[in-house]
Amino acid sequence: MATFTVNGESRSFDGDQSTPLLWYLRDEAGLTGTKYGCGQGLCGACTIHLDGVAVRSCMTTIEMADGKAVTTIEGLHPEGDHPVQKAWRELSVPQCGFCQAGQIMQAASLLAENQAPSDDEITQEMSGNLCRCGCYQRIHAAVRLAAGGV
Amino acid sequence: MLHYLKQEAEKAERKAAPVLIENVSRRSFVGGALAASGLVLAVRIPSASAREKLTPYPTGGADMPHGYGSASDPHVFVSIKPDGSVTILAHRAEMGTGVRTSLPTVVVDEMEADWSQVSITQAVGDEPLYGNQDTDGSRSMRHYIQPMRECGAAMRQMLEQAAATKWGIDVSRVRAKAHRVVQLDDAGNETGETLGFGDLAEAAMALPVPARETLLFKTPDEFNYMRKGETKITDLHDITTGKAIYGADIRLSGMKYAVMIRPAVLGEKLKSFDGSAALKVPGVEAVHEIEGFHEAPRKFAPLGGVAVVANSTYAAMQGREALAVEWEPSADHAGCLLRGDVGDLEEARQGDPQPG
Repeated sequence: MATFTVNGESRSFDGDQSTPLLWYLRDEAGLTGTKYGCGQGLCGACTIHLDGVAVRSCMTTIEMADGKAVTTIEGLHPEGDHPVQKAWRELSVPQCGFCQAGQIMQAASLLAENQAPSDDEITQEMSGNLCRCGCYQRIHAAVRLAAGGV
Repeated sequence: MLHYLKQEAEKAERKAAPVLIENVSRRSFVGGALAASGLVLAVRIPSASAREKLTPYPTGGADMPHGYGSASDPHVFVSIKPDGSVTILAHRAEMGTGVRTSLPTVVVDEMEADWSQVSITQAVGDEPLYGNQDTDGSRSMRHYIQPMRECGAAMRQMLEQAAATKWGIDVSRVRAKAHRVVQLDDAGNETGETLGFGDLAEAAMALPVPARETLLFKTPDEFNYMRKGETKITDLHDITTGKAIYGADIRLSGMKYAVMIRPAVLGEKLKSFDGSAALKVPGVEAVHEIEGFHEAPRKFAPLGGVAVVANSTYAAMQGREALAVEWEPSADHAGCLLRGDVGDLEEARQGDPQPG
């Protein structure tokens, strides 16, 4: 049985330990902010934090979360006012929004690690998160804005 | 929309400016030289009846299934509470173009409501009532800017009529302005008397919708939101906090989860399948064949396949992995390309009168 926290709350799961965190979060925990895109770690829509670091929840099993802290878009900031979320709103980044939870979690992880990323580093770090609406320029600008403080 | 608004803007430039600035000091002009330093400007606004008529033009929207329904009827699309808060229905689905925001913006602007007092509610599927609800083909704004403007203009005129009736004056002595109706004197100056949209809502909604040919519209220079590009999408906060609800996020009590396997190639039909291994996956509850549509042109018709129903998405997906499915090959050339069947591909090439 895996024991872990989700957005600060203690949880455990004694079902199939190979269950991807994505499906635990969406179906068991009811946290539907994390999205299913490809299920193969190719699109980044399901990005969450495991001990503060961005991972693809479709490729991260419950077993891998044992003893760790899981953070989803719902728990990134209690009021939704993480600098990345504020920058996203300031620059009206999203269109349909489906990939945006993953984009935001990826950006927040990047900035936690590197507070002043270069343009190349932003491009590199965000390149695994696809957006079919094509919001890439705004995503890049918002990461830069969040890094500078909103 | 931009093209339409540009046309409207060009038309507006040919008209007199709607805000007339009158040199008040002219009236009290007593002796030449004194005037220059005592110049006072008063803003005189044109009355409700001084707006413009628009000639409808065809967009194809009327020819869509169910046409426009009651899209021009404010009773259907607008509600105003006594506290002045306004709710606008969004009858198209959000697909990332911002249509859940932009179509209501048209109504709100035309009715002269204040965006900060507006909330948007998603309409259910009801085409006879709302008009065509296909959100595709870049058609939402193109087809609906006119009915939405008509809806907003009708609502504004009903509010103006309700105010005029309440004050016992002609409608030419009132004008909607920033979520209120203001009273004008004979010269067109604001008297200072105003009524909020919330105060007028009940009386306004009891009025019949004005006939289309009597509707008067704002000129583009009077737009508060349209053409400005400043209105943020209504779902911005929800999207950035994971609260926006998409189809796959709906959770009902006791609901099951299903996933499907569909043909990899357009036109392939299900030949046979064996669901026994899938049914052994813990959590899998049922396996069903889903009929496909196999006549050309298929347009948006379902491809068909096999659905696995389970008590969780992951179990359903594992069940799908365990399905044994055989497909009847498709005659479509796409089949050759996707399946990498070189023989068929060569045959297709030879049959092509203009290869390359």
